Amino acid sequence: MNRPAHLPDFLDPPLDEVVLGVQFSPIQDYSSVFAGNVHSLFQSEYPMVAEQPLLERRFETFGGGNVQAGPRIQVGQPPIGSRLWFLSQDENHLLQFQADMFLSNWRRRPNTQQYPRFEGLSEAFERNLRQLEDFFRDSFEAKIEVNQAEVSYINVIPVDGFADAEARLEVWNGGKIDVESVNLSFSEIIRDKDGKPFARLLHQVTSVYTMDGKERALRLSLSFKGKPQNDTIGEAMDFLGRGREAIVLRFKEVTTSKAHKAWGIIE
Amino acid sequence: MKPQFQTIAVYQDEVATFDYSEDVTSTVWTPLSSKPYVRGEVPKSRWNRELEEMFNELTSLPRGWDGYGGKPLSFDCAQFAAAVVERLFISSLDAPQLVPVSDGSVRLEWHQNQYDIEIDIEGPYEVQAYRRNLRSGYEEEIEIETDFTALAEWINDLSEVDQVPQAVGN
Repeated sequence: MNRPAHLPDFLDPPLDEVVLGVQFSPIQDYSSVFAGNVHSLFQSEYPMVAEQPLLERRFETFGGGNVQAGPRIQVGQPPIGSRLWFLSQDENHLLQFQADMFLSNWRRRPNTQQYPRFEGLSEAFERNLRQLEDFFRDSFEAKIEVNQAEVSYINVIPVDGFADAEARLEVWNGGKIDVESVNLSFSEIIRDKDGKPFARLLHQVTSVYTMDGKERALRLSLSFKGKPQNDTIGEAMDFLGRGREAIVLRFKEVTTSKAHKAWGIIE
Repeated sequence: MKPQFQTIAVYQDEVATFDYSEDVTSTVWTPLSSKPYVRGEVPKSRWNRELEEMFNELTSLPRGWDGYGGKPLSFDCAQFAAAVVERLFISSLDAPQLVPVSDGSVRLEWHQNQYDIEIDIEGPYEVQAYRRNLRSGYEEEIEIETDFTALAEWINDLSEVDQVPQAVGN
């Protein structure tokens, strides 16, 4: 898979984390007792394991007057089980698994590992997801039926002060305010060629600090979520590809040309 | 080497968490520790607050609840139905009735203001909606996956109280 030529590219982008993920119908008959079998599928590349709370299911829907709809809504009995993290030795790569979700994260860590680019992450994610599906088919005669997919890019942009945000972000003009903290979010609906909504792109900017509190940065998160065309893994991967494209194009739009130069935009 | 910032990440669905550690360093970014955290409260509409108990009851139904092998409402279906309810919410209208279906799905129903509206939530993104105008006898059906705009218009029509002309007395 090659990087699309029309997408902006940077020599040193402020990218901190990339997440690819799918949510699928719960696999009948799967229970936590099989978690070790799932880990064994990925153990050679992801030897470390950690347990985390379950993520709640989300569905992106559109229309209606209640535009604030969309936050988590939990009904019925609390879900049982946990989410597992499978970590690579260098901790740059993380797989997250629970009975109805599979996610892959690349995270910048304090080491020399290079960002493997979307193409590399996407190929690995699909390979791992198909491996998981093979396991479900062999063990439970079940396939993965994807009902939601997501791709997120999280950027951490160092600033001297949060009032400097306007030098980095087109969407921010703080004027002469001595800004103490930033928390800005908005979303847009993404439509197909027939004008039908199928995804939502969430933009979020928050202020963050280094561990010692001495350095500041803006965390710019762009997250593309929605329902792929159908429930197959192939369609989910297409959806993630479209999401990546939308995010990279928007990233260039919401950041300033001054910042682009600092990140080494490739003209 | 780039400085390490406090960031939440890992999955966008996760709200910012509060770390109880005294040094107040990272949030979710403490991978191998299992510290307690607090999730943010997210307000629900009045409809979902009123229906919450009913959703709980329906997802807890015993198998065969209808005497014919009926399944309890599936968790998947219930969550999607709750998301639909949230999206359709109009403050001037009562919450729909929830009717369990033997295959583990659920129906939302309104019968008021001269309309019958029935919305079958068969699963995530699998919705069939039916409306009958009792005055004209006109019936409509729509299938919905993600876009609830047309259905929201039905609900809006339902909320419009009949303007019955007042009899003028002598």
